[in-house]
Amino acid sequence: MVVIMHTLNLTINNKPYHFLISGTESLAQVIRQKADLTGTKIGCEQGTCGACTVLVNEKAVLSCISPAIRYNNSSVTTIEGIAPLHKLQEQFVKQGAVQCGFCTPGMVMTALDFLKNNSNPTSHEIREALSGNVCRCTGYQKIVHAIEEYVKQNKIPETSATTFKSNGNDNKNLLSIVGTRQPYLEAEQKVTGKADFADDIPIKNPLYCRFLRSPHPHAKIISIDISEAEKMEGVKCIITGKELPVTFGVLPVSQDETAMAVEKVRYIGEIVAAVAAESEELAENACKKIKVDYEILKSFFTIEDSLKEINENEKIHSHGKNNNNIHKTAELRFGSKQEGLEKSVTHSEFNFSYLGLNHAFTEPHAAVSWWDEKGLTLISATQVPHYLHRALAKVLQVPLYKVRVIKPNVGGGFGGKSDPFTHEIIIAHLSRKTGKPVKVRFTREEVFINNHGRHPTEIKMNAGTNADGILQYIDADIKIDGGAYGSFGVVTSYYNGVMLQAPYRVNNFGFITKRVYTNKPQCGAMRGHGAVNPRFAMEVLMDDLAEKLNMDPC
Amino acid sequence: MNYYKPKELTEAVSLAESANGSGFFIAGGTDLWVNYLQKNTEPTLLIDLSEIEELKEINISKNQIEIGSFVTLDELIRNPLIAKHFPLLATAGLSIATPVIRKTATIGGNLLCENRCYYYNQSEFWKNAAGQCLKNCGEICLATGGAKGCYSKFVSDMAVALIAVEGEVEIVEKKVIHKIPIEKIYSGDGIKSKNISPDAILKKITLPVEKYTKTYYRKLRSRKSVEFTSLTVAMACDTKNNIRISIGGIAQKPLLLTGDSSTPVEEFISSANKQSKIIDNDLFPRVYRKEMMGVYIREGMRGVGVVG
Amino acid sequence: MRFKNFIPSFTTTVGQYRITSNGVRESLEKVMVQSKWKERRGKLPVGHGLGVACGFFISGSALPIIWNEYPQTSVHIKLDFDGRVLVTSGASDIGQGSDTMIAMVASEILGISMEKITVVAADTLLTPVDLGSYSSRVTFMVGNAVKMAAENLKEKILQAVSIRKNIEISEIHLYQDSVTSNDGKVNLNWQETVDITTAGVGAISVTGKYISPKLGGNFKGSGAGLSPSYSFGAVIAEVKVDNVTGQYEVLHLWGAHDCGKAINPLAVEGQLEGSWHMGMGQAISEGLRYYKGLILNPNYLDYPVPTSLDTPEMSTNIIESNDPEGPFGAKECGEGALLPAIPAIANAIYNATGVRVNELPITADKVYFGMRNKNNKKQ
Ligand SMILES: Cc1cc2nc3c(=O)[nH]c(=O)nc-3n(C[C@H](O)[C@H](O)[C@H](O)COP(=O)(O)OP(=O)(O)OC[C@H]3O[C@@H](n4cnc5c(N)ncnc54)[C@H](O)[C@@H]3O)c2cc1C
Ligand code: SF4
Ligand code: FES
Ligand code: FES
Repeated sequence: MVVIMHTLNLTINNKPYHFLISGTESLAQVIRQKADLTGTKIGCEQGTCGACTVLVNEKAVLSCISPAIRYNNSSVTTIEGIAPLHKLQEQFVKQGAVQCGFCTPGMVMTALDFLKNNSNPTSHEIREALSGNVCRCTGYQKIVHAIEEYVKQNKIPETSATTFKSNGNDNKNLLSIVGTRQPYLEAEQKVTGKADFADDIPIKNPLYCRFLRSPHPHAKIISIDISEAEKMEGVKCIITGKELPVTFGVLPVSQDETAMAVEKVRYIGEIVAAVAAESEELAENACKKIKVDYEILKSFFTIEDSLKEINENEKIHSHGKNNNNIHKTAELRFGSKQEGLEKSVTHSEFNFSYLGLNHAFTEPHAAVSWWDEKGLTLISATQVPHYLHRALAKVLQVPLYKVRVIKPNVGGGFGGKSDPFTHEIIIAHLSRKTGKPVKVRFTREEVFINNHGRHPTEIKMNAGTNADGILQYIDADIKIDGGAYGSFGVVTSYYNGVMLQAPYRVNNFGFITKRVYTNKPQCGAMRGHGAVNPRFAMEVLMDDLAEKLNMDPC
Repeated sequence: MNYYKPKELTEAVSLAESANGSGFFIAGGTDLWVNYLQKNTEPTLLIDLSEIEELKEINISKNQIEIGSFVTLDELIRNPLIAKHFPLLATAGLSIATPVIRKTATIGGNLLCENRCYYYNQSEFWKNAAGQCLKNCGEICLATGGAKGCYSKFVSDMAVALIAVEGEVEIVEKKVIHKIPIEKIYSGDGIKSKNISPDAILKKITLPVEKYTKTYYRKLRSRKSVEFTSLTVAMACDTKNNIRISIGGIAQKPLLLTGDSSTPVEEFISSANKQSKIIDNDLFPRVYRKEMMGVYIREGMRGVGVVG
Repeated sequence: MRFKNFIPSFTTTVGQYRITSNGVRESLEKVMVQSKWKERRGKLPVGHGLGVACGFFISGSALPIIWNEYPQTSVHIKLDFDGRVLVTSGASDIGQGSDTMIAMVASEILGISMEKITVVAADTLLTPVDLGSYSSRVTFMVGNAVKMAAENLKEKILQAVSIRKNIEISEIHLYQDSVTSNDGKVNLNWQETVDITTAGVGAISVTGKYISPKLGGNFKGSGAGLSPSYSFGAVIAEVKVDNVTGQYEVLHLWGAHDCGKAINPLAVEGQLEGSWHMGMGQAISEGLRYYKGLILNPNYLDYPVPTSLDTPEMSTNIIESNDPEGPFGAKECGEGALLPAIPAIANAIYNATGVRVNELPITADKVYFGMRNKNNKKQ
């Protein structure tokens, strides 16, 4: 295939640039990769998150879905061009509108563009204007307030300079900093696009990693042929599961995952091979040339199926003692349900069901790694550098003292970046083999495939009270769908039950949780880990009991 | 990939003709490019329409309004003429995509945006894993499990609104200009959803002014922004009490139902039910969308002043 | 009814959790007053509903994931010739503001301004171990460790000054970037203080750590959910349901959360609002759907995170129960607040329609068919 290259002249932030591009590069790619202006973020590459918003000829544009070639001789303004610190940005900082900061550049650009045409908006109009920009951290409230404050300030004549640090308390016994409203230390870096997230870190001559992922939910790997892919231009290294057979997992009791599938794949999207090449595109193309022979195995997609008795060879993991795909059963009982039942005059029982959730943080996973005389350095969007450090040492079989994990700015986690991940181990290994830095970033789809989100759940719960509305018992039967691997699942299994023992006093309380393996992306910890779904059930039961007793639910 | 940015309409037409079907016009690109990223289209030639000035105008003459195909949805929403004569279009425009997308997305591109389906608007990886469906040259329809046909969903909200007010398009096809009612653009085939040839350019949209004074529009989606339609109903009633109901999101093409104020609501609803081909390829279940179609039609009839 | 059942402060639960500070009562009272619960509930216009729920969550898991005797977190502070106070910690700021919290705590204890404090965090070469940002543990555990380290540094500083100036330690204070004595004779600015402290010894390094107290019962599984303190909260939601279509809107959320003490109220509010928003997402729209093991909606278009237009104004209330073991009384606020948001919305929908939807997310179709079934039963 002949790639036709085109010249592209752009003025970005008042500076002229000349690029040679293929027709298919997006404006976001050019801005980030060619002009090194990484304040513009990529969150979805589908026009659905707004993180990539820039101004082209003074008009807001989603740079991820704009072919760069269209903008020859145009003038582009990115977040870096709003220098030094716009009054609106100042309000973002001051009002706490910046948390992880990944959505922030896009928010600021969108808001600035909007305010040009509407300098005195209502709060609803502001919400309308931002409605294509996803923020997963703030609930939007502080962002809306920041814009409102900016509008207000613009209306009244300038007062004395705004001070962020309210550190003026002369009484030595009173707290002077603790309890004051402090913008984040790095908020200004984030709001100006200077803060580096994992994919923004400048690296000299890196290789780029892409993955070949399984198209089957459950299959034996018969053979993998990388010969054709290896010969491709720009391809530096290809690895498969056999090279990294050591298992890992965040919990010591669930070391059930390998860096890439070794003998079989357990969900669609599981990594089977990885390529390091001179560009993402070359790596991606090489992945397509890897040939894998699979033998399809029976798949399990539902809790119901995974609870059933099956043959040994149908099990998703062979390590379990049972003849089913149950991963963990957690059960605790306190007091006596019988007693609770006897003392109750009102009962409530419901079946609850819940879809699984993804954390949907705005920054897709990204990481970079290299080796030098100190050993391995891995910079990754992680919530758990320490556990990642341990997993890297274990799987790569290097001493703990030869590993270094650095967490840069992270664009939200909510539990979704709290496991050590396969891609982190893979690039560490690729950079060891190639002697070069290796970078990786996920697409939004890969974030979903990686998942580790809230478990799909089924709960049958009942509770009863005496005539005064005092709880006498709670009993819960919980089933959670863990997907293909363990992750935090053992803890999740317990949390689904134990978190019911407060805030209401209950003396007769019991639960059983069964976590099953299925051939789907794995579930793990997500904000409110394990406690969210049973809490929903409990609070609905309380509502129902109160109504039956004709009492105020409060 | 080759790329051209012609300044004249005629040049754009000849470029397209020379590409033998593999050329694509790009207006806002907000639909085309997302489909390209999902490898649903692979243009070898892009013909950028952004410098053809005659496509960007909104003009009003005594009894009709003309909207150039390159008018962006944002411009349309803000245009005082539109606000005055066609509040329906402003409402429909506001219900499309997101505020930033609307600054790039054009009305012409909206009319010609591709049908959608859960099983089609996915990555290349996804479609390989699921198996390609009929719309991607596969053997079966993943959504229904059958092989009879593709039921990809018609999603242009602006088309639905325009059809209700008797919109027509001026098309330059094989150097000939012709004018057709908007609903005639759509084939009803989920795989190849348009009747017009790939090298035809949509020039402008024309609408009769002051004919449809009472209108109704409602779009079903789970959030108030971003999302494509699960069901869009637009309705217009003219001064002689003729009623046009246009429905999107429930078949491969928009439905058009016509009648007048004496037509029983039930008749409209049963006709809509008969013609719709709702399948489960949407966040909302099929049955709900079907029920809502009736509910919205009923509501719309009241909205345009017909008590059903 | 909830008030009657609340577990008190300073007690143990049936599974032997040690409950210390507990602001659930205050939380619920607060949102009731603010939402005018008593006056409005039951008297709302047709289609409107108010619902309530409470929450409870851990504030740091008392047991580490990998069982060993290393503390749950360890913090170092270094003071050198330049007067910069370098705090190193493994804590992972992922947008929740833990670096800022660390600087605030150090600044508070040391009595020096925040600009002199530099936080280097989450680099396993340079910073001592912290187990990570999960189980809402960072403010409680790292905050305590920073406090301890800062106290150690302060002691060293005051000791050095006391020797040099020949004055009792109890007579001098480190405050507002200077060391002064009660009698006014000593008045050292920060650089002078630093010079005295480092004289003859060079850079000063101190450490702090956090080890959770021994907690819990003696049965298998007793360790799950043990935490040195627990957070509590309440949410009241108001919804408006279209009785013909089942489509509804969350009009307002009133939330209150007991975070012990808000070290940084701006950050706490942000955590609470973000939590309620995320809870609302699970309540109204979010959910992964599958087709033969493939996620059908692996993108932001079909996985519907509520937009700014779907998100209502929230009334945000911080309840401070001053936890006896938390740093300055603080405990978690980053996760627990999410919990009551979901059932409060569901209960509000019930209040509005008489329909219980016990399947999340509560999409309009479920409300619609729920209402229809109910009406059919009536007839
Ligand atoms: C996140 C997101 C949400 C969206 N939500 C909605 C929604 O709610 N409702 C909705 O209707 N759409 C929606 N869209 C789709 C799209 O943005 C709109 O339909 C938009 O109006 C398309 O216009 P465009 O100018 O960008 O079209 P383009 O992508 O440029 O073109 C679309 C098609 O029309 C052809 N074309 C364009 N102009 C002409 C012309 N003048 N003559 C001949 N052919 C032409 C192109 O070749 C292409 O095949 C959404 C898109 C995204 C990314
Ligand atoms: S309706 Fe069927 S054939 Fe058409 S796009 Fe969807 S899955 Fe494919
Ligand atoms: S909208 Fe461009 S990256 Fe999400
Ligand atoms: S601050 Fe908006 S996504 Fe994190």
